[in-house]
Amino acid sequence: MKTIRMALISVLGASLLAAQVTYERILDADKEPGNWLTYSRSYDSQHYSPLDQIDKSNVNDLELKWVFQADETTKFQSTPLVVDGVIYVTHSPNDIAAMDAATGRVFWRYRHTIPEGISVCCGLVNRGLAILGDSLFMATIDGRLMSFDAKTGSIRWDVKVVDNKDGYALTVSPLVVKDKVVIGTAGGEYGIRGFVDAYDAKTGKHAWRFWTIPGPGEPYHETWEGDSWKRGGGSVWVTGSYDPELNLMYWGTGNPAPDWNADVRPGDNLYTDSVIALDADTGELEWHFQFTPHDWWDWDSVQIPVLVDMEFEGKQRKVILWGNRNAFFYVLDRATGEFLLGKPFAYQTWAVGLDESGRPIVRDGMQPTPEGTKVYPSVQGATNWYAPTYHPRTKLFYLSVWDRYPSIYHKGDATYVRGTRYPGSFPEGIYPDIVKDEEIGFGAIRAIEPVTGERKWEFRLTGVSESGLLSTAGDLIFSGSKEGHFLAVDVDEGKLQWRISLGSRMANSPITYLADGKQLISVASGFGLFTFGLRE
Amino acid sequence: MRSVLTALLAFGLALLLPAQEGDVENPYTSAEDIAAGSRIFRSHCAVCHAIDGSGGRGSDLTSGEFRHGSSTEAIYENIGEGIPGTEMPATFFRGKQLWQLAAYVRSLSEAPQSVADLGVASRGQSLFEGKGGCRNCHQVNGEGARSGPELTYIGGQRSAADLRASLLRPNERVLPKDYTVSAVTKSGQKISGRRLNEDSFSIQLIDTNENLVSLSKQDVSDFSIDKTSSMPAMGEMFSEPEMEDLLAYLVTLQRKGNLQ
Repeated sequence: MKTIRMALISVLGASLLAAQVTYERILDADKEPGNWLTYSRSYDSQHYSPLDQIDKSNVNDLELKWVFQADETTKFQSTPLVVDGVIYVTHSPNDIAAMDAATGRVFWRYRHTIPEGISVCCGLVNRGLAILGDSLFMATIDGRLMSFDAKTGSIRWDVKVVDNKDGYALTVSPLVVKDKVVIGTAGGEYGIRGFVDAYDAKTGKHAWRFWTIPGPGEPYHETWEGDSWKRGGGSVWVTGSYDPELNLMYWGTGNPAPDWNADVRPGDNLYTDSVIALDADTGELEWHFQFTPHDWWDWDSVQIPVLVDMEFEGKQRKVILWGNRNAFFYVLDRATGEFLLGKPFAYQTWAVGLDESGRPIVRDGMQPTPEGTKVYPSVQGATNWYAPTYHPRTKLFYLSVWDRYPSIYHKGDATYVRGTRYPGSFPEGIYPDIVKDEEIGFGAIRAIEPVTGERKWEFRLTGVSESGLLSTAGDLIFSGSKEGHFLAVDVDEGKLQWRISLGSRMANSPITYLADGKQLISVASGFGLFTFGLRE
Repeated sequence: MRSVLTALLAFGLALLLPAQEGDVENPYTSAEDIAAGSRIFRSHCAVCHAIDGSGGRGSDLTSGEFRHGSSTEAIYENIGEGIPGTEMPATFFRGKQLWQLAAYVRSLSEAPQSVADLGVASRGQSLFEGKGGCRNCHQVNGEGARSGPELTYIGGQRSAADLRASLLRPNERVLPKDYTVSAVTKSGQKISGRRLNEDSFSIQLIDTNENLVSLSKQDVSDFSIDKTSSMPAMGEMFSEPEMEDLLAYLVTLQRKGNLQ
């Protein structure tokens, strides 16, 4: 076995390692399902893999192949890339490991030093890399965008994007489209003004910026009052999707700031809590759709836009499927932004429903108060940033759900001080604990029929989950739980097929790929990346 | 990391009497300071540490013992500077507000309580260990059973009024960590005890014989969680003066003397 592998490496490996990841390769990701070339594998972000070696008949033969331990104790939110036998993963704060995908042995590591006093809302996290040619790209918590030689980890260019002293931080996994590297910014709890930025992949030269909060003279600036737009939030911290035919990118935007005192920002607060469709070459806005106008609850619409072509009411449509943190599932026409369907996928008390345009009809008395207002869903939402998935055979949309779990939302002081937290008070009930909280709710993997918004099945978890979903042509969905279980259910009925306890929460989304021609599955749990394959 | 404190020390704080050996004294610990710290806590800390400091995403602050240091100096530094390698950020508070916040965090485990209006602690201890039979379920300093919550530091964690309410009306507020689990296995065995943990596939408990038990849910035919307390209401067992004595004793159960 070893000799075969060595022979493969010497004969094929060298040439494969030398291969360039062109834009066309990412565009045609389905032609090479053994690789994982961009954040969600393919530009449609279905988080689906055509690999089928592992299926219901043999999933119980999965065994641990290797573990990579990050030597940092911040949650592991990164999704790896796999390129021709090499797996690239980031971990806190902005370190990179390039490893043999078959064994997890390290080729090289990059260690990033961040300045003291970095301030971020939610940990020194990073969600991964992008690749083009033989360059890797990483956005850093201290506000830099960096390019690395994929063979050695040496820095090719390093540009300053934002200043953390202004509350900005970069956690997003970049999206490469054509010759550009596109990123967004975090910092919605620090009174930033959000944006999507594009850079030339070769040189790092800035190409364009789209502000998610329009300035004076720009459309929808009137959805802000006074100077509130200057610190209005609208962060972008999860990777968008891309439709090459329409040449549009889709990005979800974060909450308006301050989070829980909306009195200081009257108006709809565009383009917060929205999906924005941007021209991939110029960054110009084609259309937008706002899920939660004038948000009082911190329900970022920072979910991964899932692009699907399907028949809807007798007409073939290019749509986006979107399970939103605000507990509604949406179907939008992605050419125009037209609202096609919206239905709750979890228990919620904040909205009576959606009107014909998809705008929520907000229930009275749901706004935060100094004493606290109990609202479903919780501040973590009915789902959050982790990957949903779409399976092309079942034509179902699947997502991780937090159900029947509320927060008590408080309203308070909203004084802005540069670079400091600007929350406007706080919510109670963040991460439910089974032995601590009286109202814990429960977690679930749910299957939704996109044409109706109806639930097809659910797989219930006792605790909630921060794990995304991976569906495969083996008709399995892989996911994890905060309890530390990594598990597989079938795509048709959601029946448990396999599980293993990894001992700590999963806070990323599993991926699958080929190493030495064999299908492997990697998922982060705790501070390690665990990789499984079939027993031989 | 140490620069903030060093600067403050240079401004004269070193002259203050230390609260404990090697520690610095917090100059802002009045009731008003703690209330001010509480307000900051609600807007900046509660999001992770919960409104009562009992933790969640962030650590439990009611125990008084912290992994990254329990001294006043450590609390002050960790709030001001954050804790590298964790999700605890620097807060950017400085000086008075930071001390007030530290005072509030300290108060979560050392609630200053007046025992002037309560009874005699030594008599309360006799009632606790004798007539009340409290040690049949509760442990204090390693003595007693484990089926009920441990009370070794209860005086620092709960107010006297809160403790009185629990003694008189035990069912009014039962914390999830004290829920009772009853299960019948598929082989017919009945198991009951305090739930220690639960996930989608299993449950862990300490049973009435103080065995640590882990049950697979698929091996259980019947399973229920009782959210009421198994403690009897103490209003009939104890006279009012006895209740005062018992409370006086419970309030003394603290990490260190913080009684006024």
